[in-house]
Amino acid sequence: MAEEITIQVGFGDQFHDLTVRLQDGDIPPWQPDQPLDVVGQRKPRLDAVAKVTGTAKFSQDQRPDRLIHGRILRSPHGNAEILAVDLTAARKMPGVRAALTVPDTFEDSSARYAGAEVAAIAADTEQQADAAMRAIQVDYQLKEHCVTIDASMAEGAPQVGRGDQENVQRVSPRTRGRRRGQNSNPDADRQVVEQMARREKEVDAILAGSDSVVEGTFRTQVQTHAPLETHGAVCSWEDGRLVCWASTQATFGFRGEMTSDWGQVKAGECRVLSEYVGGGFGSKFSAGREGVIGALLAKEAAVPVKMMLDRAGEQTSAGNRPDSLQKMRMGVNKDGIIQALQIRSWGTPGSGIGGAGAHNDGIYKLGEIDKVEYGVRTNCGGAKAHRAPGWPQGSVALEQMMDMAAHSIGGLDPIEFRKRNDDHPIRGAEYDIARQRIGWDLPRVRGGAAPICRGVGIASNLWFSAGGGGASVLVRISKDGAVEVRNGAQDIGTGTRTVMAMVAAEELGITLEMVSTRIGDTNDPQGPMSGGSTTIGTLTPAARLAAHHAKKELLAVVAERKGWDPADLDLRKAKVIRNDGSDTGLSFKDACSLMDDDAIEVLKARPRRNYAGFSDTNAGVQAAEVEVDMETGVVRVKKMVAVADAGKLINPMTAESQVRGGVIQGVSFALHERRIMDRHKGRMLNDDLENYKILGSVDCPEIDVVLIDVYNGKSNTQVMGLGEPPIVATAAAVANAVADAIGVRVFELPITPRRVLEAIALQETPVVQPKKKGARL
Amino acid sequence: MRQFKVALPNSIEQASALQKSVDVPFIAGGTDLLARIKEYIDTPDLVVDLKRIEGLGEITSTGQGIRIGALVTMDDVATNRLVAEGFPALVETIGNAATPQIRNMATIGGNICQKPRCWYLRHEGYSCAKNGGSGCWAREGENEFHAIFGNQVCAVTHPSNMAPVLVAYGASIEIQSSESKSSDGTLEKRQVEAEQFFLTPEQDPTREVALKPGEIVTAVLLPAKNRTDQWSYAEAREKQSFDWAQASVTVLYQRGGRSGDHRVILGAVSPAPLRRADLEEIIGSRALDADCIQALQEKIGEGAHPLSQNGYKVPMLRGLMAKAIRNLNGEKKEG
Repeated sequence: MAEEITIQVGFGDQFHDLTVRLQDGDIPPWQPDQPLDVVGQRKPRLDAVAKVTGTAKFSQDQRPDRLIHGRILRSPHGNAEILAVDLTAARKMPGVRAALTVPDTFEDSSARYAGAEVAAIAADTEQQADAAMRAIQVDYQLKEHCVTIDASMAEGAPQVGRGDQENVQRVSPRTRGRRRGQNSNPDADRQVVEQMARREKEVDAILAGSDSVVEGTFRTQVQTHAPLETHGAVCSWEDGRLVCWASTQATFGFRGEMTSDWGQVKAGECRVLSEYVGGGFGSKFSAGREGVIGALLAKEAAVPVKMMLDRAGEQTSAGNRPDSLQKMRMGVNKDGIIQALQIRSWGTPGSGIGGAGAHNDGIYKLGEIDKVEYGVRTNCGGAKAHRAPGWPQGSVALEQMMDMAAHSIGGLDPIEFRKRNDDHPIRGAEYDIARQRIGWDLPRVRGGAAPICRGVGIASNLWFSAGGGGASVLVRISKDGAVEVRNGAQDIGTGTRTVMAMVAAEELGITLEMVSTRIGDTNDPQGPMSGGSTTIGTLTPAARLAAHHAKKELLAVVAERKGWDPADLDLRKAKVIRNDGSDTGLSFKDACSLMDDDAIEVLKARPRRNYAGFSDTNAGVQAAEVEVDMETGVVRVKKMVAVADAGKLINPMTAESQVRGGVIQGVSFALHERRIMDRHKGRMLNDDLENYKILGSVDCPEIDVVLIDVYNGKSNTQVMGLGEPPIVATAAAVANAVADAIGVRVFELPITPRRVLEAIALQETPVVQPKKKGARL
Repeated sequence: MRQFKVALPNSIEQASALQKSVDVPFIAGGTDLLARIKEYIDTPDLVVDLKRIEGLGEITSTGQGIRIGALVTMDDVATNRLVAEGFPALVETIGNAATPQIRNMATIGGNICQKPRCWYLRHEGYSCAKNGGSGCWAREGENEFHAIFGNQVCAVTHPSNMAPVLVAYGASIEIQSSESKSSDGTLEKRQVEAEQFFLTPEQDPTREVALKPGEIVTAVLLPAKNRTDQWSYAEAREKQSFDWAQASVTVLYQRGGRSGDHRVILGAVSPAPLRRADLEEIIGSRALDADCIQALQEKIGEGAHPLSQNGYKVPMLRGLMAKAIRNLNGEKKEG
């Protein structure tokens, strides 16, 4: 069955042959010399006009008949136990149709952070729901709270968790063999501790033997996702079946949660719709309590309920990128080769323990690594995956260490230093592009008397997703010539809808305008969640395969009706052609009209495995140019160069848009965004979009996106993920550029005027410290 | 949002009579009040809308200067020819404020009467000196954006970019009330100098402006421009789009003048715009050179009591002071 073929993989002028064994009836990837009519063209997203003119309806816009409004009451206390919730008075308020308590519904009466859900209510109008929510009586038992990792790590800090859970817990290296319900496994634990001690000793020795050792302590802040459209859904029960218009990154995941114990629905009785999503950066994989609450309130009220979070609920409780405290020591030799890296890092995922790791050792060849990672429990809203989880914060520390190390060995050029410690087959070329386009070698005013100083900085990306199995796409060619591509997954704004149509159009030899995509409906074939930058890599090979087989069926109809040889026919430029390229005179539309049936429908699953390909990872390099006002500490990013690759580029325009989005969010992370917690009451003080500062249009730098088209060979469309990689390097590049500009490093993000002024002040009054080997900027 | 009634009076007298206590707010553009009501920070039963009152929406020349009606929007102030010719610093500060959408709605009367942006004040459940309780959460709490001057009772900063400029220009606030009528039955017009209009917490922590219940700001009066005036405004803030100043320095300089002729007003570092006569005196009649800048920089932090997280505002002010003087000298525009 399996056909073995030889394909060309590579990019630019670097190509080589690769033999792959096609699986599951797959078709070969497009080849570098193959002319393509649609794929690779810059195409505005199909929904651009609908989005700009407001005709696109998001979940927030859904207004089914008799819609009422849900509200969630949240704990105002930093740490509390819910003793009792009394809904009696609230239920008697005007317009109230449904109410529930969290302790009853979710069997959870611990409100371990300010913003934890306590109860919910639905009423005819928003004002009635607000008023009724305030009539809910709650009896809390208050406890002490810790809302920063420093407070939680301090000696004598109040305990955040339950039982014997400690505030600070090692998460890596992990102790294996820990059984569920058991808090420790002393034997296994002892073994790990011994291994850690050995490792530390080994790496200490390598560091001691290195020509130079640099040290740094870095901090990054908690960043909330802050999507324009908040979490939630509009839920409606129709004849015992639940319909949810959900703002989600996983229509099928959302349905899965609704059909779990909490949601009280059977799988076949729930339909999730998500035609447009107002932003998804990793926190919308789950229906969340708000989704389940919406469904339950709608059931009780027997009318549709809109249960979208308000901004404060979104900011406090819908997820965030955890903070980090990273301590590093790097040993490097005079030849510029990194010998070893020692890392100790801490971060808070909220009151839980996992998921706050900083990916700080993933990009370069770093020699021997000794890394220990801790989770720190705090009384704060829980972390969720946030666009390249762990990577931007890890990059901020590692990339600054790279610059410091390069500086320590006689001021080796930071780009040259990276090249010496990097063997990625694509990134090598990308450094040179970034260097040239940011004007790396131009003279600049750095530090000194002038109030405005300029600097440049560099950092690298890495990502690793070519998609995977678990998705099917339906291609339908109607007798009237209409072509529809269908899959139940969502387009969170990345351009999935457009790119699916482009792949089908390419395969069917027709124009993009002749194809429509239906997306975001769990009644359609199964699709992936939009996580790990896998959506397009997962869906497009299935779309291409389905389109390919639909074409074969159509050509078989044509061949039969015309008496032609089906093996000699193909479709190109909306015409039926022969293999020698000659026109049969039959248009695509005329060909369709030859069908006996209403339509040809082909459903194809994506081949499960990916091929060896050119590279398992995509690379990317970003360079920043900043201006720092030495008198006010204000930082402006003037320009970002983002060199990115993502396998074969289906639509450079939407790809570029992904890169811009990553850069904007990354600059915002570098300079502005941060959760500010009040030590007194444990609440988030900037749970809004006024004091939670996000980079605005006027602050946006010039973004120079350079895309590298790579024939990766990993799948029949060769697409690699691009949603997450463009945010990995941005903040790190900005931090390095700031250090270059002002001649002193700001070790904590965001790089605010306060921190810049404080760093400059420290530099002006140098503290005499014991001289350490190579420990300098 | 809690439901409330809206009164739509046609006259200042009717509007004034409706405000029997501070619990009945006036509304014009609504960019501040509506947000507070939505957050349950203010919970009025009745709101008095001023927009139907005639005669409050014009900018006119009065002979002694110009009169800006209280209902003139920020955008209309910023694009008015009389303002641009006589009071260019106003145009500059308004152009930096908030967003175009807000500037299209917000009025000059509302701008000078807006509530501070303190994040404790704007969350339910923090009782403090300003909202009728006692103490200040920010002093021992999260205070990076709070006041460094006059912050002992309450550490809010004054939120208006324009207010320091009004003080510098010697503006007066025109106020009317149904309580104060002249013999012919018309409402009397009381005038308060901008410098006295903005209250410090020491004067009254619960009020930001010198208005009694029933009093309505009807206009801002700007005295005729002195032709030898030079102005300069420098501010610092994290973001260019939609952000509040962390500190600002306004300088009005009279060429050939003496210390009493100049104005130096600091913004966003104290609960009310802070006039600094000591800095005005340093400028005096000396040359605006590096020595002058240094002398001002050495003095500007005097009297500051930084809290745990806002000490940076002192060097920031020093930097802005330098920029303001250099800008007066016509050096390249910065900041």
